[in-house]
Amino acid sequence: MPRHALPLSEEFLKGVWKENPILVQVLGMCPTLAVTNSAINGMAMALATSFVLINSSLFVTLLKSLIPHQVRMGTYMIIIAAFVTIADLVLAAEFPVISKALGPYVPLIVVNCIILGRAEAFASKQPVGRTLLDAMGNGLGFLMILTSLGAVREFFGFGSVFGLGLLNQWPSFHPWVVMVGPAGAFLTLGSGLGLINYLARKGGA
Amino acid sequence: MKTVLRLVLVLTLTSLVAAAALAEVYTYAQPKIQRHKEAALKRAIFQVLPGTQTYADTVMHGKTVYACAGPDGARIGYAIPAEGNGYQGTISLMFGVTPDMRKVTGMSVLGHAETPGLGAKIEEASFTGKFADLNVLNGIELVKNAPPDKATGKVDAITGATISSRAAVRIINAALAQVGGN
Amino acid sequence: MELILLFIGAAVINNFVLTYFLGICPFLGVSKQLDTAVSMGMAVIFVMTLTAAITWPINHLVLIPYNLPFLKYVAFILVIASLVQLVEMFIRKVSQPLYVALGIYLPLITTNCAILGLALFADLRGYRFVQTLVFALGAGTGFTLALVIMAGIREELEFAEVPGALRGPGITLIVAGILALAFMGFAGLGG
Repeated sequence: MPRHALPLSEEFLKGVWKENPILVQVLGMCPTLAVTNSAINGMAMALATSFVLINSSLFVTLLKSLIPHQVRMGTYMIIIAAFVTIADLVLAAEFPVISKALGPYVPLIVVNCIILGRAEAFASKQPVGRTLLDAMGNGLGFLMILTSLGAVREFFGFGSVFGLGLLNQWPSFHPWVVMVGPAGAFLTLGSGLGLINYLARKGGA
Repeated sequence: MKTVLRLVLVLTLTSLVAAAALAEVYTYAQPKIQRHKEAALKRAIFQVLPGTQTYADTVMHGKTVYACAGPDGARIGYAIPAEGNGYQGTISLMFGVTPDMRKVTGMSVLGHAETPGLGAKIEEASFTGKFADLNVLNGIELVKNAPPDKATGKVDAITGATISSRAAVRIINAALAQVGGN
Repeated sequence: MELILLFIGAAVINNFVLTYFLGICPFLGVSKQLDTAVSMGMAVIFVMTLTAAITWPINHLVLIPYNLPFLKYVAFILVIASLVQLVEMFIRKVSQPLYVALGIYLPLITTNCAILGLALFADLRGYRFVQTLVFALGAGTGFTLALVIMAGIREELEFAEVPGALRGPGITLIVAGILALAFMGFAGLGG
């Protein structure tokens, strides 16, 4: 199905909002829920994922004419896994505290549906320029959601945002510990999705 | 046949290039990662056995411990790493003992997945401090709603985090038993 | 005894979906009907156990002895991708209707974080071979458990009046959150 060539700015922006990987495409849930227990963790995870997304999309689009159709999935996986290993090693070497906080979820970027999804749906078919814009847009969209989710959970769960004490300076504040745990992640994202859909309907309809 | 050859070739080539690139990054990253690990270990040992100048790893009854020496080279105790199940996941900690293993000199929590604000308090000084200068008779005893007593090895649990506190004590006792402390 | 605890731990106490957030995509996608959920669960248990059986020797007999830990992720994911391909071909031959019912979700098992997560966790915790297998069985069972419970709830939800904005992923996530809260009650059972 031929795709109408979108203006370049649109190519970038669509990943940020209209086709936001988490809110609209509902992909990449695992890391979204797992490491957003604080704003900095959410941000670090999104940046690591974007690193892998942009680089793997770049390699896929550059090599697309050389990769036979039958082994494309395998080749994509090798490329993605390689970049994830690089991200994991660099994090452990340069930012050990964050590496420990993100833990086993960094290697799980390998199976982040967003990355494979973009490689298959876009990078394998589109030229370099557009692929880069698409990857960066999706990465930015992912970054926004993960950081905000992390900030909300950190705010209610610890009373701080990015480590800056806010609510927790208020003596009678008892942190909503549940926000930091898995239940809080599900509930926050679910309510958030509901809220955004509600606002979208109101605005669009 | 030609197509299969091409498929195999592409996959093999990609794997080889990836492996080579990764080996490169690994050679750069691994020494740094090692250094971080050693720094963390050193920090933990110095914290649980204050006054340590040098340490060396050794094996006691199948368990790796660190024999620590003071500034004059004399043995001042052992730093023992241990881990076990906590309330929410694995707790890993390090504690120090005197050479005769009759006294715990300190404890430091290296990693845990306990509930933030509750079980997580086991890593705070208010809890780890209870293990400094703690006499061990037949193991450390956790008491609730009763006064702690360092002379008889009694440690009181954190309010609202009994299970995490109990887990920490149990882990230390198990390690002590293994290295032949009691 | 220790193995039984390991199994229960992976299946219930630290349920892969509700505690570790692994396998969310299929959890949200396939949990609409009970029988599809059960089939998916079975397929996952099968792939998980096989993955454990193959990745353990690769890790301990090749990667570690030859000092190649940086090839772990590449190796593991290739094993998983191949296994899923094989399972797909197998199901297609054995049961056409099942193959059609599972649809796109079958190849998606490859990107199911639960499978890679299982291999990585077992490696992280240094489990022996048998332990890894039991862990895999437990994790797969836990995943199936969460999936089946979710499907049961969602089948009922079809008859409820969900506010427009929450329909779809919104309400599913909130239900998952309540499920996660319920499973928190199992915490501390293993210790």
